[in-house]
Amino acid sequence: MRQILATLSLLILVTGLTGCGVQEIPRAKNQVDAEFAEITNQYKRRADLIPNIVQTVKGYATHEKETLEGVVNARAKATSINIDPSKATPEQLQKYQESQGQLSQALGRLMVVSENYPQLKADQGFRDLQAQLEGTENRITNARRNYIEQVTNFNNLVSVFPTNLTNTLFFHYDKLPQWTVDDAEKAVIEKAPAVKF
Amino acid sequence: MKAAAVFLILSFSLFLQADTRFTPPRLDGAVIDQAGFLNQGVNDQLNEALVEVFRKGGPQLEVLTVDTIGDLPIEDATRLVYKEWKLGTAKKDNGIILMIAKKERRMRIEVGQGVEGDLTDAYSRRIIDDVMVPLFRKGHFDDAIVAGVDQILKRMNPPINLEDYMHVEVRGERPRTSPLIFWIVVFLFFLFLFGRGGRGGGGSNLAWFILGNALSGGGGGGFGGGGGGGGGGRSSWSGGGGGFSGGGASGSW
Repeated sequence: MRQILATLSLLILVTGLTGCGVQEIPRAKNQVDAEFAEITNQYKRRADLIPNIVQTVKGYATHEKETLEGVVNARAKATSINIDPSKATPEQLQKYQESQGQLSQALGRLMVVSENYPQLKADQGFRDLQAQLEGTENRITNARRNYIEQVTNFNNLVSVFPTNLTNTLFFHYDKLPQWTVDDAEKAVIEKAPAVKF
Repeated sequence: MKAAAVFLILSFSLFLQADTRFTPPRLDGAVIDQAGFLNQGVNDQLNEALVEVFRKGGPQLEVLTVDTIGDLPIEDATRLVYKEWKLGTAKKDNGIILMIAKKERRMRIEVGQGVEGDLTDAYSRRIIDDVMVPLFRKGHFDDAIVAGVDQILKRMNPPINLEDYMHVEVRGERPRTSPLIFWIVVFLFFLFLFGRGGRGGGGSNLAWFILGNALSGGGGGGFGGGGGGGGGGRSSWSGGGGGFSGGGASGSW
């Protein structure tokens, strides 16, 4: 009789706890880490693509040394910062975002400049590279959005009743900083494109 | 009372229509042609072909045309679509979406994670820019969409030949129309023999010519004409949890 009671109470406890975040919170944390890994993965993919793009543009756009160097330098800086998603401090994260944002800008300038070279634009190799770059940028956007969603989900779990109780009891997680568009990127977004004649 | 209810429903649906926010439609077939780019015969055959391709282990390819995506970029619209539908199997992540927005004149091939290696961004771009956009500009929407689907399937590993599947589909109609086809063939044969005005394939290859004829219902109304036979797998068509990461390419016409 006592055994039956014990198993019963254990069952109730277990089923009761599953709704309290004992499983959800670590799961959400893992999901956040996974999504962040995907972001770094896609940034890596972009960095791998850049040397080819630079080489191709170099062949046609001989007067754009500065822009090309800008890209090469920004890439070097961005790839020098490695980040471990599960252990990164907010400052590291900030730095990482900044360097990638600067690379985005430099690349953006290069793509604008390449519009001035009809032969470059007609080059099949360049067109393919351009498609790959666009695809990668889209994947980055996508990964960042997924990350933002997962961070929101995680933060809700650790701060909203009743799962926040479970968190304070077992896990002691803090809310995670949300991915923000850094100042450099903001400047790009807000600045209207300059029209030159 | 009844009239009031009807009015309420009507006004509500109007209200919904006025809302420009894009939401993915209900997934009820492999071809969802809200913008009306395809004629019914092509629509049905393409749908059945794509259902069959997926049933035989190929990718889950979805053709979606919509009137408008509002002020969303097409990449965001397809994102909403794949989040909602989860095309492809969870194991293979082999979903593909060919989405076309009529008003914005934008199209996109969205490629599931599992097939990104076969159908790269660069190839997706080529299919859009080199195959579909030129046909769209000429107003040959049927041809453009079928050719786009065909090219996508040809990139698969192993390559899939759409013609194989499109031919299977006509079987329901074939017995009835075959005598007619026979006489048309005989007629053409004599025309070619005695008349000197055989126009030839007009640049495109013969296979396309034949396929095109089989699809378009042959002008004179001889060939099947779509209609009835459709419906095959429409009800059982649903996503299987496939993942997308934003690969593919977009274009405008």
